[in-house]
Amino acid sequence: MNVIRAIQLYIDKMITDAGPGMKMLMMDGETISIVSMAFAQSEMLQKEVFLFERIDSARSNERLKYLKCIVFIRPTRDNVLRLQRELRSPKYGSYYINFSNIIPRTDIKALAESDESESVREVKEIYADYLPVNPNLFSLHIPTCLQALNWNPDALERSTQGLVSVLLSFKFRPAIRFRAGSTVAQTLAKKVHETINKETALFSFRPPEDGAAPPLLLILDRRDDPITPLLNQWTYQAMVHELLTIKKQRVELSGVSGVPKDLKEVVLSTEQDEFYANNLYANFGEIATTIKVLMDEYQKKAHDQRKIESIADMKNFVETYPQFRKMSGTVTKHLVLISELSVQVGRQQLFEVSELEQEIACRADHSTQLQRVKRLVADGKLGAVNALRLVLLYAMRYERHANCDTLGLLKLLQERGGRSHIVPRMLEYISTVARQELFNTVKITDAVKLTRNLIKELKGVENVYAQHECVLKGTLEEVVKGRPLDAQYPIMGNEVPFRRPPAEVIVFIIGGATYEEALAVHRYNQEGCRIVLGGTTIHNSGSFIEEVLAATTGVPFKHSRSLQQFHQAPAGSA
Amino acid sequence: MANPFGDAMGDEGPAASGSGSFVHSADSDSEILEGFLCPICKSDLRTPERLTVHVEQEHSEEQDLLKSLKEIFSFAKQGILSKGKKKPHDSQASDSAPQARGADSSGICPTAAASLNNPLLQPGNWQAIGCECDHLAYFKAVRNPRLERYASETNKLIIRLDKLLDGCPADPDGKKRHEQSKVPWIDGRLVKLCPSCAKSFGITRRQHHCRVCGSVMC
Repeated sequence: MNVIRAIQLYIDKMITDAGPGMKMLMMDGETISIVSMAFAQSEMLQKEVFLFERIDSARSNERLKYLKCIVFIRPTRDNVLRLQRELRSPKYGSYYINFSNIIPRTDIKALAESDESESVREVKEIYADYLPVNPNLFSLHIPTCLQALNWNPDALERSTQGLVSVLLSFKFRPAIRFRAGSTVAQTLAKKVHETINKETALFSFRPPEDGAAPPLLLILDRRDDPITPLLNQWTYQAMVHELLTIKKQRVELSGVSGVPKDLKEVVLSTEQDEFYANNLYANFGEIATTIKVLMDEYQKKAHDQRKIESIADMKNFVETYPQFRKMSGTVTKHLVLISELSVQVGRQQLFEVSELEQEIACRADHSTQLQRVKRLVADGKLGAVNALRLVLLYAMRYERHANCDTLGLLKLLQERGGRSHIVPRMLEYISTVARQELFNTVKITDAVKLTRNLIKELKGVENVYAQHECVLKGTLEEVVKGRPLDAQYPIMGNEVPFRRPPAEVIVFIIGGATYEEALAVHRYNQEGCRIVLGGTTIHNSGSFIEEVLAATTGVPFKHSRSLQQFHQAPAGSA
Repeated sequence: MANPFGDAMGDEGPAASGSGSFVHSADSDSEILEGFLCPICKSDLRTPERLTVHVEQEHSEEQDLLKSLKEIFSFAKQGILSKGKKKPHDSQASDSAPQARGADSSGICPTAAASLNNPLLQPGNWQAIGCECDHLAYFKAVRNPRLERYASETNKLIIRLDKLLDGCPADPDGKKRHEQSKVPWIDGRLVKLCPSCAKSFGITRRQHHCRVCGSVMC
C-alpha cells in the first residue's frame, strides 16, 4: 500500500493512453503539485511529455497543433469554465481530459457543448487527488481547516473528495469509524459514507474473500493530541520539517548562510534520493554516521576518477560521470542540511529544551519542572518560539493542578515579547478527551491501562529525547490487535462490526498529521501491517500554532477565564 | 507474410508454457504475433501488469501457468533492481569493513538496517492501479448531435447541388421546371424586403430565387 506508487501508476497510465507522439501536460495549481511529488521532470521527459502549462495562466496565442494536450485538473467550477474557453478556441491538436475526482454530468455536458472542433479524444476520471508525501503518508495541503471549532465548508469539501480518491485508488470499500465525541470527525465520516453510497457503481468492488474484515477508515481529530506537533523532533525528516519547513518536498535554504547559489531551494524526495529514503526515520546521531559513510564513498569515487591513464579508464570515466555528478549533488545537499540542523540545535539549545519538553509530556513532576521552565523562559538566549512551546506544554499539563502557575509564566513570556495570547487559545482547542486521557485528570479504572502505566514507570527510558509516544500509537495498537473499538470509535452506517482486525487501515487526522506519527505508522508497517496515514496537512509547531489560532477565532473562552488579561494579542503582533 | 520457419514451428505450437509473451507464431496463418500476449487466448495486453491481471481473472484454473508467469516478472524485476544496487553496496561494505574493527561497529549496521528501513525496498510489493471511470461515451452522445446539425445542413445543400446539376435540360423553360421540381421555391408575395440589403422590391429591383435553398434575394 504505497500512495506514491498509486499516483505514479495513474499518471503513467494517463500518459501512455494518449499514445505515441509529442505531448504536453496542462494542469491546475493543485494537480501540478501532485504530479511533481510523484515524478521528476526528467522522468516526464522520458515519457515524451515536453511542455508543462497551467490552465489558469495567461498564455501566448501560438497554435501548436502538432502537440497532444493531456489535461489533468481538479473538477472545480472554475476549471471547467477555463477548459470550456480553451476548447472553444483549441490551440493543440487533440485533448485527453482527465479529472482528478468525480465530476458531475452537467459539467461533462457543458464541455461537450463547447467542443465544436471535435478535438477531445478522451474524458476520464482518475482518482489522484491527494499529495503523496511518503509511501505511507499523504496530505491534502489545507493549511487551516477549522473555524470556530467546526469545519470550514471548503476544507470539508476538499477533505471528502481527497479521502474518496484515496479509497478509490486502492479500491477499498471500508468500514468507517470516527472518533466519538468529535463533531468534525462525525461530519466527515458522514459525508464520506454518503458519497460511497451515492456512487455505488464506482465502489462495487469484490468483497474480501474468506471472511476477512473489510478495510478500516479511521477518522481522528488533532484536538485529541495537541502535544505531538509541539515537540521538537530528532528523526531526519521530522527534524528538517520542524527547523527548516518542508513544503511539498521542497526546503527553502535562502535564509541560511554559507549556502551555494544552486542550493537555495532543495528538493527532498524519497523517489529520487536514495540516501534520503534510507534515512527518513534515522535519528540525529545515526545520520551523522551514515553521512560519514556516504562521504567516504564519495571521496573514494572522486579519487578513482582522478586516475585516468588509459583509454579504458577514460571510457569508464565518461560512462560513470553522470552518476558521480548526481552523487556529488546529493552529498552536498545533505551536508548543507545536516550542518544547518546542527547549527540550529546549538543556537536554540535544543538539547536542553527538548529534554524538558519530553519530561513535561511524559511525566508528572510539577515542582522541578516548574522551576526549570521558569529558568528557561527567563533565559534571554532561548528563542521566543521555544519559550512559548514550553509554556504551552506546561499550561496544558498542569491546568488543573493545585499549584499551577501558568499566570506567572505568561507574565514572564509577555515581558520577553512572546505571543502569550496563544496559550488561552490552545486551552480552548484541546478536546475534553485529551484533557482526561493525556493528563490523567480522571482516575484510570481500566486494569490494562493501569498495569501498562506501571510498567512504563518501572522500565525507565533508553533515549530521553524519544520517550514520548503519540496517542496514535496506542490507537493503532488496539486496532491491530483486534480489540473492540465501538466505545471510542463508533462505526458509521449500519454495518455489522467485524470481530477480526482489519487487513488494511487508512488513518486520517483532521487538523493535520505529523512526521512523528508517520514514524509510528512506519514501525507498524515493518511488522507486517498495512497502514496509511493522512492529514489535512503535515504540521510542524509553527503551522500547528497557526491552525490553533484560526480554529479558535470566535470561540468563547471557557477554560481560561483566569488568564483573562492574556486573551488579547498585544498590539502589532498576530 | 511467408515465414521460412512456419512449417517447423507450426507443429510445436506456442512456445514453452511459461512464457506466454514475446514472439510465437499462430497456428493456421503463419503470421507472427508480438508483445505481451496471453498464451491461452492470445489477446494483446500491452503491459506485464495487465497480462498477469488478465490471466488471474480470465484463466484462473491455470494456476501453474500463473505462477510461472509471476516468477518470470519477479526474476526480471529483481535482476533490474539488484543491478542498480550492487555497486553502492559493494563499495560500502568494503569501506565500512576496516572501520568496523575500529571504534564503532555501527558502520556496517546502518547500511543493513537502512535497507530494512527503506520502505521502497520492501520486496514483492506489486500494486494494482486504482479505479477509473470513462465518460467518453456520454461526452460523444452530447457532442455529436450538435456537430451533426452543422454537418447535416451542409450535406443537404451539397446533395441538392448535385441533383440540380445532374440532368439539367438546356432550354430555359425546361431548366426552370427541373429546378423547381428539385428545390421548393419560396412564394415571392411573402417576401417584401431583400434579406441581404433590406431594400424593397419594385420595377427596378426584381426578386430572384436561389436555386439551391429556394429563398429570395434581389
